Amino acid sequence: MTDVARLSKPGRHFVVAGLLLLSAVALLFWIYLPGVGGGYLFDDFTSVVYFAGLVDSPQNFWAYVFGERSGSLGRPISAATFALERVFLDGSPETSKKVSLGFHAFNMLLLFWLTCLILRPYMRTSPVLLALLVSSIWAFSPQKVSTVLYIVQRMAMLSTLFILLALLSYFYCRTAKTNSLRLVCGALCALFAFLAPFAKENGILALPLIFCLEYFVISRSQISGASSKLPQELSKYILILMVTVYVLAGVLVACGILFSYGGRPFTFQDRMLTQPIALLDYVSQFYYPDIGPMGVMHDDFRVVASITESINTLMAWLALCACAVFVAVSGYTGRFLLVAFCFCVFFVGHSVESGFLPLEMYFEHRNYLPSIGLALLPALFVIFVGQKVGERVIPPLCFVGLLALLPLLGATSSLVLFWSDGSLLKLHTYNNHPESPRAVSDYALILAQLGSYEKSAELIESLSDVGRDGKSVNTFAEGDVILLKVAASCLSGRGMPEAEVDRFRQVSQDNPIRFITPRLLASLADDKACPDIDWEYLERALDRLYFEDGTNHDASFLVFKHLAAFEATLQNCPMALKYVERALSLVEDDVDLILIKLGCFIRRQEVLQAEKTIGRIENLVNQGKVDARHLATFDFYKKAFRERFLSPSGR
Amino acid sequence: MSKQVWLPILLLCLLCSFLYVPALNGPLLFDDIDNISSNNWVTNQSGSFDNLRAAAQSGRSSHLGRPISMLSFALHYLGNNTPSEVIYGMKIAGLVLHLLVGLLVFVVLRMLNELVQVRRGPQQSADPSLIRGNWLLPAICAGLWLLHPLHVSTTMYVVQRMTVLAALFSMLAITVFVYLRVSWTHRQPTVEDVIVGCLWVLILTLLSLLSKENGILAIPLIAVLELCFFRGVINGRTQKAVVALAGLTVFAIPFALSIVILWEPSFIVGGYGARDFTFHERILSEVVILKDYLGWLIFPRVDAYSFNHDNARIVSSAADIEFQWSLTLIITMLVAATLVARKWPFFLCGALFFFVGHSMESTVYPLELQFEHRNYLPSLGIVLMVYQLLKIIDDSQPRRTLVLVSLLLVSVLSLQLGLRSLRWSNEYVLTSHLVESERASYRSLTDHAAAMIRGPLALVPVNVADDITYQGGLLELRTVLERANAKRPHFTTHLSMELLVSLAIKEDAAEMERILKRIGKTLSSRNLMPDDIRSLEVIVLMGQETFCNARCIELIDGVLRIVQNRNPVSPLPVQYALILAEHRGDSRMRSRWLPLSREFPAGKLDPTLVFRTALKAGERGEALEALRMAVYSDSKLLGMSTYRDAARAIWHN
Repeated sequence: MTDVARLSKPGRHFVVAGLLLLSAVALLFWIYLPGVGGGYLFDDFTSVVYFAGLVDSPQNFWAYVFGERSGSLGRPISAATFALERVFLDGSPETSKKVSLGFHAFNMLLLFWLTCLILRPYMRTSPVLLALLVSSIWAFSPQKVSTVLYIVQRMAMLSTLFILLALLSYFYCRTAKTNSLRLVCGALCALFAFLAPFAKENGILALPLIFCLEYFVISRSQISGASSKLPQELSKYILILMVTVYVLAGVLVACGILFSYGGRPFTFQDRMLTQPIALLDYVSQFYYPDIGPMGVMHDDFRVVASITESINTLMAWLALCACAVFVAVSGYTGRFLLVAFCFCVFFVGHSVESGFLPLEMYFEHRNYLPSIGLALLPALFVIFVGQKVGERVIPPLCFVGLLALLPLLGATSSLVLFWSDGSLLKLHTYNNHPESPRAVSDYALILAQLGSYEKSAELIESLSDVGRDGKSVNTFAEGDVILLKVAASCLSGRGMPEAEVDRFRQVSQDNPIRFITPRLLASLADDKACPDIDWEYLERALDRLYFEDGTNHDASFLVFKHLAAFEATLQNCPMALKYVERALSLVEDDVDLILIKLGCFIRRQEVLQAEKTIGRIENLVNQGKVDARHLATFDFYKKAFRERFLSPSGR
Repeated sequence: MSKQVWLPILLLCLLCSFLYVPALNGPLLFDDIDNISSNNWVTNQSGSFDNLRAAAQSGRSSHLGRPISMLSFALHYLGNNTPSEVIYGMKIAGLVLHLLVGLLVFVVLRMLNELVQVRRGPQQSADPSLIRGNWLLPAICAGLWLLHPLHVSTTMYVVQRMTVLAALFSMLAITVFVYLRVSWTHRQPTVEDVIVGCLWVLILTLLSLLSKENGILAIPLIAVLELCFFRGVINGRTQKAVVALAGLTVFAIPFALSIVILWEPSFIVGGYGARDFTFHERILSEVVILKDYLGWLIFPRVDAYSFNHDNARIVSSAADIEFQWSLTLIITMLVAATLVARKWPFFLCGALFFFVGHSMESTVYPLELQFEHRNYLPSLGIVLMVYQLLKIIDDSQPRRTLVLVSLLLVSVLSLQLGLRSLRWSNEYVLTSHLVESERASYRSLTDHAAAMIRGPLALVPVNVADDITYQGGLLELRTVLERANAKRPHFTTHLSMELLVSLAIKEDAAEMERILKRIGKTLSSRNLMPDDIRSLEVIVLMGQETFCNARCIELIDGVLRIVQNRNPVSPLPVQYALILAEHRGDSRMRSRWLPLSREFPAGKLDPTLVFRTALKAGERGEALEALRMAVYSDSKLLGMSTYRDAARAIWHN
């Protein structure tokens, strides 16, 4: 009987393991459930809320599932879970968070199972307690809160789920006694590895992780039938190949051939120097968490521009190199293989999002998969002591580990309660990230909503200085500050702050609006949140800013796009079309903009222009460039067009 | 172990439970109120994890916060029990824990008894009558410990569950140690055995430490057992290193403290600023107090026991005759026990156990001088000595002598315990006994006054002229307060009570004004002391009652302003004023004190109070800012549920 088979056979530890696991899962729900009431947050509004359209048009289910544009592969599996919630459940954010929590608990169980399999060959007694310790350290870490309670991050959880399933299937495939079982497990492994990237792109990491598992764990362990030279050699060369391809891709990015850093306030070099520090920070936050800085705003993360700028950078790079050397030496000598495997899980897990891609510098959810490696390390220490002293030492050490987990539970519970209310989270974020422009502006707008315009305006005014030293995010420009003050005035129930708007006449920057603050105004106008405000005053000021003769002010595509949406919301079609033209001159075939155009043409009864635009959009539909959200709007406009101009009464 | 072995100890546990029954109906007392019933983190239990976490971390008694004890208090508030049910549950839990410690005492004594029996030689250990009798002496001694009336003020004083829990975990650690060590005397343990054993002992010590700091003494207490019983013998051979290590551990604490005092005297001596005795006075006084403790334990006399010992005599000079007698007694006891240690090891073990057990709370730390609960675990040392005495009787006399002596001891202790338990059944009865003596302390007198106000008088505005009984009660109360005034005229607790009486019997405003002015005058002449805080609390509570009219509020406001002027860095007057303003809905008072609240750094004031006051004033932005500062300053994030509710309240207001 193989070790794995022995483990899977119901034994005397089965009941204990079951009870312990059940308690751990119950504890997980007990801690996390108070946090499900926090509503939608930040990116949820762009990536999750629009699934609400499915309630009215369930026939568009597949369009919604395959119309998600968050990543290059569309993330249809994650989208499917959001869509299914809308169709079969009540679709509230609470339900979504409960579903995410369920996935987290399931991942915890999968990790427990995988840990049992990995550690079993290294122990004479049952690894149940250690596996429980590992899965608890991982699942209860406060770092997980911003993944579990942030609905949009279900994508990260689902990709991890498929990766864990793929690793488990691979383990059974390699240790199975019969060919049929091996075939089934192999097929399952392939299926899960294939599905993982469709939950989130970093699901692609299933492949390198499978080869790491093979090379560092399965081939070298004492599992009967699994230790063999061929898979070991094969996995070694595949891993070397993967590392080579990864480095080459990095070189291409550095040369500007692959991906562009154009939209970022930092360069490739900045990112390469900063990411090792971010990785070290992830590690320290995992083992010794400080929940203060934890959250979703990390745009104040300090960017390092030169290796001589800080000793930390040098140390971080040295640590990174030392880990790489350790992994290589371990693989070569066959010693400390499990430790090397843990390092691999952490670094491979981070290779996509914390590598050379021009993404934001720091996010906690990026640790969801990689922290499995960190959670395994303490268990390896316990095994090491157990091997040196005797395995009877393992239960008290596990007990000490579980005791040490208590402060972690407290930290997680506190963080969960911050996430239980949007305003509380924003307030906490502002407390701990006073240098984050987004955190400051969010808090200022909350104050405005509560009627404290003066305090809000004071904070907004300070925004032009916030974040100037770091480069991880664009700072607010003069125009952004003015528009935010308009929004604050609107939210606090005041009229148009004309004196502030007049400051547009004196702006000195070429790009006076850099953030997408116009989007905020568009949504305020759309919600009719400020009946007392005189939007025309602002429209005239913006018109002067961008279209007056002799002006040299410019803006990004997104700013023009949202200004167009703002004007369209106010039904000012001439201005909307002006912004649309400026935006389309920067990016062609943007469906949002073409739809705004279509809406304006219909409103202005320009039938020919409208027909031409409909034809243009239909072309885009045929090319698959129109997602479900836009399809619904397009259908609405087409219907309006037909009713108004093509029906007998209309004609 | 057979049923016969457990029967006597179980019977003694039953007797102990029976005798404790009257005390189970007692109320929460004194420090229970600050630590438990007035601690919102403990009492507001919705059953959420965060509530329990906040309760566990809400301890203010020390740096570690005693989370296990605090958590155990919070567990009583889960469910919809009435306050009296909660208190009853707490007392029951105290009794159950006491019985568990008693059972562990029995187990340890039995193992030590076996060990000593084996040491005496194969003939005696093989004697079936001796083996059969092994259970009797440990059971009797564990029973004596369980029934000792001194422990009532630990087990029935709910807040002292901290002491009981620390003792429980310490006893568990000692039990594990003795169990392993007995087996290692005749076999060589492996490295794995030693490490596993040490780990379990350390884990239990850690749990003890997290219940109360003196739980750390489990380690030196274990070392005492090693020195006195095992003497480094492993597998039949004496290991000198083990003896040295044990000796070092026993003397590690005094040695470390000496180093600290010599190196940085202010580390310990600096804490004496808030005490009315000096470092040297404490050291001298504690010698006398230890002698008193021995007296209380060896000659139990309920009348000698008290709840408050704030009148403990302070010894100022080494020439004090009582100090010299006490020191002589202690040295003689230790020397005599050492001289007979080979033959009768329990004497030395008991003496060392007692003094090591007292080494934290009865030595250099600037704690209050004397408390009965400090004897809870150290008293086991005296039980060990009694055990040796009974053993000598058992060895030299027929078994019936032992039985008779034991019965006598159990009867005396039971009577005393029953009597004390009855006194603890009611706050008024308990405090009445405390003030009987002329030497009654200031705190006992004010506690009794408070008990009268809460109990028989139940001060409410009545027409006192019609009620002779009531008038008699008032007269008694005033006598008690006058005695308190005579003891500590510069204190204010009794004055605040006088004020309460004056208000309740509708005396003219001039009298109230006189008392308030006197309080104001006292507080204007010195910094706030712990007792003043209690009297300010009373004044603020009084201000919340309907019978306190506008003039009364004005006077209270005046007192608070005096305190504020005298103690500008203390947030208490601002906090109390805001509480009063919030409760009375007094906008003038609110607008006067709210700006002052902004002058304090974050975290100094009760954050939710500022938030609530701002919200009542309709300043939602101000309330959010107060909430933000509250969150910012709350390093332990205790109030997470409160913050969440506050955030929701802001939006729904």
